[in-house]
Amino acid sequence: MPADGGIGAATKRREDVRFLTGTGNYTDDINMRGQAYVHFLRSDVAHGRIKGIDTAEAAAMPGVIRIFTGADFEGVGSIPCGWQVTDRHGQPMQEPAHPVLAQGKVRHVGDPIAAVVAESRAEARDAAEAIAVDIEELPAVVDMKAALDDGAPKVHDDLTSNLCYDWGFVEDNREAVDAAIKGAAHVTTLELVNQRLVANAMEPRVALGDYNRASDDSTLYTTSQNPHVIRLLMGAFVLGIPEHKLRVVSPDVGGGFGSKIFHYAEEAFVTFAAKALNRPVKWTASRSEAFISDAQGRDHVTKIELALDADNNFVAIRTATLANMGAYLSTFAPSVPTYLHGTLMAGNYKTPNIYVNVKAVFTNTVPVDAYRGAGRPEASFQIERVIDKAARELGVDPIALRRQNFVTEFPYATPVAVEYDTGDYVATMDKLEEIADIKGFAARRAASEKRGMLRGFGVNCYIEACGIAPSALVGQLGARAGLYESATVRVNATGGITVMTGSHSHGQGHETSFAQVVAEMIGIDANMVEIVHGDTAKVPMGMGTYGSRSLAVGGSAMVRATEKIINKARKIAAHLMEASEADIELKDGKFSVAGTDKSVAWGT
Amino acid sequence: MYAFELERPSTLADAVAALSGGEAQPLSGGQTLIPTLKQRLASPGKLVSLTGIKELRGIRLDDAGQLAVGAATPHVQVAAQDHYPALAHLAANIGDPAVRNRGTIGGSLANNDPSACYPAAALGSGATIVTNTREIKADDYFTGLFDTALEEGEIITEVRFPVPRRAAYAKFEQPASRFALVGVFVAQYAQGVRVAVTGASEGGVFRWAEAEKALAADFSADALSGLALDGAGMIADLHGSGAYRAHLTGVMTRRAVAAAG
Ligand SMILES: Cc1cc2nc3c(=O)[nH]c(=O)nc-3n(C[C@H](O)[C@H](O)[C@H](O)COP(=O)(O)OP(=O)(O)OC[C@H]3O[C@@H](n4cnc5c(N)ncnc54)[C@H](O)[C@@H]3O)c2cc1C
Repeated sequence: MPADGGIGAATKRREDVRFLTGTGNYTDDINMRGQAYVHFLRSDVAHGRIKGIDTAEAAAMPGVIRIFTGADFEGVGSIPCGWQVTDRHGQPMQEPAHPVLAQGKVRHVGDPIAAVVAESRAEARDAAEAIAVDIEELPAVVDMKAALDDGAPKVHDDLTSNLCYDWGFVEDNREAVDAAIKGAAHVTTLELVNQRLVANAMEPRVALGDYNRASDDSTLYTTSQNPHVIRLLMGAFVLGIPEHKLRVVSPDVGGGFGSKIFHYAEEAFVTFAAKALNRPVKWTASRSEAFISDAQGRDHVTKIELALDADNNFVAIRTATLANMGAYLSTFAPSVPTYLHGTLMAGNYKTPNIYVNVKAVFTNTVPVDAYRGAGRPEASFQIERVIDKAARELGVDPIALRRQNFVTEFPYATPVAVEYDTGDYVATMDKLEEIADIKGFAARRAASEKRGMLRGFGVNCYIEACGIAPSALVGQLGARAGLYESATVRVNATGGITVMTGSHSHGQGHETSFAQVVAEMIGIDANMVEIVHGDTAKVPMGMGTYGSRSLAVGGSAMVRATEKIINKARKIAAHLMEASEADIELKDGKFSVAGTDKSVAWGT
Repeated sequence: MYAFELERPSTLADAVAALSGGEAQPLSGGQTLIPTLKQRLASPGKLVSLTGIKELRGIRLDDAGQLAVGAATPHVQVAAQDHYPALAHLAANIGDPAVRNRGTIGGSLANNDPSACYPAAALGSGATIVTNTREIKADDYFTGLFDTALEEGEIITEVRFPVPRRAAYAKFEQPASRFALVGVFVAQYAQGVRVAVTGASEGGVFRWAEAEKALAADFSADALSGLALDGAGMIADLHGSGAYRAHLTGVMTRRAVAAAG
């Protein structure tokens, strides 16, 4: 056992030394010689036609280097969407263009219209105020139901409607579900809103672009949960920079919660402008700007029906959800209300018939994408709420109703395409009832009532599919890139180990916990293991951190790589001790020859 | 923020002179004004800082036994005095430590935010707001939302609080800022009881006459039973409706009376 106890040991987080002493290195801490600053002029209307942009007065203001508008990006690619959903009828979703700077129309408050690059942040902002934009305001759609009405204003004129896709899951279940609901003894119907929210990480987004004219290399420093994904999306689809000419660095990142997964227009802008101006260009979002430019979360409106037989067994679940995409498709937006949501709709219960319908809708609002749990809490919220409502309608105990319908035999194949390999929900509920002292609740409630207080009681079961992967599966579901992870484990001359991982830490503490994994496998002290992440120049490949995948997917890559190292070390140990490789044992960081007192320690 | 000039006078006379130029504005703790400037919602040509003026800082009991607080005195110092405990308690619960170390009583009263705490204390105590030119009774001072009887260029120099027999301030906090969703200041004097309500009305801080009358006859929470305010004219926003705030005013008044003991 390593000195600090290995995997899961409660230890001080090594990254906290820099975080707590103010010596972290966040993107905004990085400043380059000759750096210029950009300020984005953003739309203050939800929907409008741009009839003209007059930058003459602004361009003449002190410190202004250049003002960019949509016209400067005509030959540049569109901000891509990383996931394609196929609808109920086998058609691909409607996918609008997403320009770096607005072209022709603005589609949400915050849509960037122009970008002023100046010698200082204040000068850029002053000049942005002097830009005269002639906008013809158009009627806006912000309500999803209204957006689907015939004749509703269209967010994208070149699409047939505001419907991105109409998805059925599993489409083949549809008829059986309808029939089961028709024949059921009881149907509970619930309509609910899972409201939109702003992710609001402590550190606002920052992007700094740099260009080396001699080597034609571009570098982007950005507040990202996955620098490699940004390298892929921005390099291949927006700016046309091959991966070996583009380096993306995400240093310390102050929280993401999903909102820093996605590739944003500002990243493409600073990288593009740095080359155009041959100067580093930096953007730092203000808090207010974050509210209108970071992708937001949730925003589902759902009707869910739960059908039960005469004995209160669940026989069918049918849902119809409207999911707001906002004005453009953010990187993973289409996947959230579909595969990250529909697949969880069985919850912990053996309901034989389930059908999930999701209509994704464009509106004149800030784009919506993955946020904490992304689609999965939305699913759980519906199931658990409708069960509670059914219990009330039927006059039965909500815990008993759950217990009666728990999946108890494993493996269990749900009607929504996933298989649960193991689980024991009954035991978990037993434990819950014990530690929450459910039996004593009635007495506690009576005591509260005596004091004029109200006491409530809620119970919720949850199951989540974590660690989104592997590549082959997500590819079938519409992912446009593999969701693998990579790790390089390098043994240094001193015996110290450097691990390069494509996972990214932005508050999770990987530098501590990942080191424990490798240290325990070899049996050395975790202090001998160093974790490197967040720089595509140091870590050649990766897909980053989201969907609870860092340990499951990134950790697995690290384990595989460490196994290779151990096997190689075993060969070396066998050679050093002139023994057969088969006789070499590894324990507590020491290789020994079985049945002898010969040994050689790690790093000697 | 737009560019501006900054002056740091050390006497009141210099401050008054600096402010007479037009386009100039006093700067005290900056807890309201600086965020306003950062949002580019104001563009004064010149800021005149008051915090370096000795005569505007400090707390004393005046000849009439009133607690006199210099306009540029930060909340943290008011929280530390023990002549008027209810006022100390109010000051100790304004915002967070940064706000209490910088923010001042003069800035708060000049700003007259409809959800601020000090207006309730000043009106609830029948305080006198002293300026460089005159003395204004609290009853005449608060003229509406973010509006006061102050003239252009007039500087608050001191606030004088008659010390009551007993008093308390009960605040239902808006948790993000700790401003009052509803705050009620109750004070009992030989001449009668004053009840001032902040956070509730669209017109800013106000006195609740019925409650004052009831409490003058019987200073107890029970004396208020049956009294209710109307939701009309109350602030309605995402934190609560007008009717909610009207109801909360009754609740907080009873809590304040109970706390005053
Ligand atoms: C996060 C946060 C939380 C807060 N929470 C609370 C709370 O819980 N309760 C509460 O009551 N308040 C709260 N405040 C407000 C705070 O109490 C400040 O006192 C208040 O913002 C104004 O005081 P200031 O000294 O900072 O004034 P400044 O911001 O400097 O000035 C405010 C205005 O008053 C004018 N002014 C300043 N001094 C004078 C003077 N002597 N004469 C004439 N005009 C003057 C200025 O020109 C300006 O227009 C909070 C503020 C923040 C930022």
